[in-house]
Amino acid sequence: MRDWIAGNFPRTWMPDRADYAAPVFAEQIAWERSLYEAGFAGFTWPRDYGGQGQTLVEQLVANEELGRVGLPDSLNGIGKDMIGPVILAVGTEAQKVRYLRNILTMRDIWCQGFSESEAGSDLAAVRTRATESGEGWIITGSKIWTSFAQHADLCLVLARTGDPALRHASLSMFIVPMDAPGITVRQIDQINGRANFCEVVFDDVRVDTDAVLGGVNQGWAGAGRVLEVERAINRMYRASLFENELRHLVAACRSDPRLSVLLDEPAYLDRLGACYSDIEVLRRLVRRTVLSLTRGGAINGEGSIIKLHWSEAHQRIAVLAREMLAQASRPLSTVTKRAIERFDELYLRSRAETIQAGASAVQLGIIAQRILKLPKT
Amino acid sequence: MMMIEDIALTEDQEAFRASSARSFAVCHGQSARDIAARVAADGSLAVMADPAVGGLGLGAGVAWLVTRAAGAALLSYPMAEAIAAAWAAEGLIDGTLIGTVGIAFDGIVRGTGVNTRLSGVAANIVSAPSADRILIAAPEGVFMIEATQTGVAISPSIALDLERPYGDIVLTDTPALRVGDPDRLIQLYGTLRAADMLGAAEAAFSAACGHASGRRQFGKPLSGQQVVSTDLARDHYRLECVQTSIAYAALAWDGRYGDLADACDVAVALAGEMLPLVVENAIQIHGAMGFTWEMSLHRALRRVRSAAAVAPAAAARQALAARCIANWAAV
Repeated sequence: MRDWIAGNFPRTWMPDRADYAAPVFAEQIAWERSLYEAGFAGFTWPRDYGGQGQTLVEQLVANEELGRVGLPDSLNGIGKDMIGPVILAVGTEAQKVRYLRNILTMRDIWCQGFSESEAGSDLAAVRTRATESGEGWIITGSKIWTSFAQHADLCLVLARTGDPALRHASLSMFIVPMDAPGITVRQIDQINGRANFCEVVFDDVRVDTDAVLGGVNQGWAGAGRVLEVERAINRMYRASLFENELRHLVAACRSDPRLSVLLDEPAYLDRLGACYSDIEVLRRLVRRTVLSLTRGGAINGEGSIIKLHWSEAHQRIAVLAREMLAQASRPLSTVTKRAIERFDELYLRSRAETIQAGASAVQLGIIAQRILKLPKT
Repeated sequence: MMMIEDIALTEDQEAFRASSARSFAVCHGQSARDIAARVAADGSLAVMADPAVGGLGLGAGVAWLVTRAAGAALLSYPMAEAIAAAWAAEGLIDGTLIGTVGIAFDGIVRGTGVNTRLSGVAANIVSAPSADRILIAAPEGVFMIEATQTGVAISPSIALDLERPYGDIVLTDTPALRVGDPDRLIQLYGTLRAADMLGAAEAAFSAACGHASGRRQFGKPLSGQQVVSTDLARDHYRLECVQTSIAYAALAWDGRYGDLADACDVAVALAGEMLPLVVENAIQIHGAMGFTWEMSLHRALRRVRSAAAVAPAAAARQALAARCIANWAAV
């Protein structure tokens, strides 16, 4: 895989290069398609559905290689890392045949319609309603913080199909084509200047009966699995990517006379060492989880430990990098300028990482209840 | 299928760990000498020593679990130090001699072979006042000295640990026997010491969870207050980070994972930074009761803080960073 990446990963996409140029949408779609055609996607998915039929170990090893070069996050990360696994777990055979391969070939880009303005951390308070009608369902409501909805072909929507008082037990998941009449997507400006979060309004959107994923009023179990997976084993390249970032910071400092002296200062050595420790801990937590899952163990609350750790560690890397790079010589060289751009963007983007996919407070709550089993009443 | 490193114990290793834990649990109130005899009899002392000299040679992957159990029991014996010393030097596995380790030596080494002499100060050594053999790690090597020799002055160190009083040693042209190179001993000792700290912190944490679950105020258990459950969850996260780091450091020491120096520095740094916080929070959770002499929490705090001071976390982090910077420059 390393050889394949060396021959096929565009050099200018490497974020630690002074001539970095972010891939445009179509370029990245094509590249991810080639990644799949080379056998480097869908590692653990069954071959019958387009996957490689391998284990989490192979997926981990491959992820470590991808992280080393600083690859961009997948444009179909929702599909590959979350929805695909849920379809595999609870989908019908027809749904598996219809949707899974298209995720890996990048033919279908997915988004996840879960959170609402009144149902963020408390996802069971979802109000978007799905009502049976004739040969299908009618979905009405709105979702928010839906990543990449502006590009998506399909959306997995969590909707209320029963008595709201039953909370978790009256939720269902629906596969909704994003070109269905009645769907409006509004991009939300983010603090980092991007607009990849969206509000999605469903105004009496009709879907067929076979759009239900995992059974009526059984959506929570499926959603729970999505969130567990999201926390524990998606994007297993993070440790390698974070190391790529730390190496970039050190290389940028070494290139600048005012920054290079910082590499000898005990205070900065201390924080660099702490950041590297964070990376090594992440690496080991993930490896431990992969080993456990490979042996048939469950994720339980371990995913929350991993998510809590990497999200906070990433913020620490970004804070340190900005503080050091702010002391660079003027005028800025192309090397330091590129590093500053990268870490300024990372610093702002990382503020969302302790919020998305379950805020840190939620993760700590899961640890307290599911692992420590601390009583509330 | 490609393999990744396996940190799970075999059945025999788990049995050995459990046996040590049971043995330590009944040592409360015993003298260091009595404990030495017991831990020699149950094999704990010999866990890492070479089988050629009567040891068990089970590796750091088992030894760290033994010292973790010692920490959990607040054992009045320098278990980590003794195991490390028994690995490095012969004659320390039958329990008749108490061995310990000092890694902060500020002095000079003169001569070689039978003429080797050490002069200087080795500070902050666990159980130095009761030790018979002290292994001093210097840049020139690991040197074993006898505590009763001429030229050895041991005074109580200013440390908090009640179960294992620390000592400072002043050496004046003291005869010493070179027994090995320092790096492996320092890395092993760091890992085992971190494991002892982990055991003490885990015991304190367990007490805190029990107290938070049972103690009721405002009509519900303390853990019903989100701030309390959140604090305990954060402590669990800290313990998991430290435990994983120590397990992998032990693996690395046994040659089964990654870079040894990095792994050990990570373990020492995290143990020194996170474990005192866990124990301090355990006291906090217990309220005023946690502040009493009668509760054992202060003993865990003393043990963990004292051990953390032997090799400061900051020094480990800085060493780790310096090595990364040097290695990355070479690529």
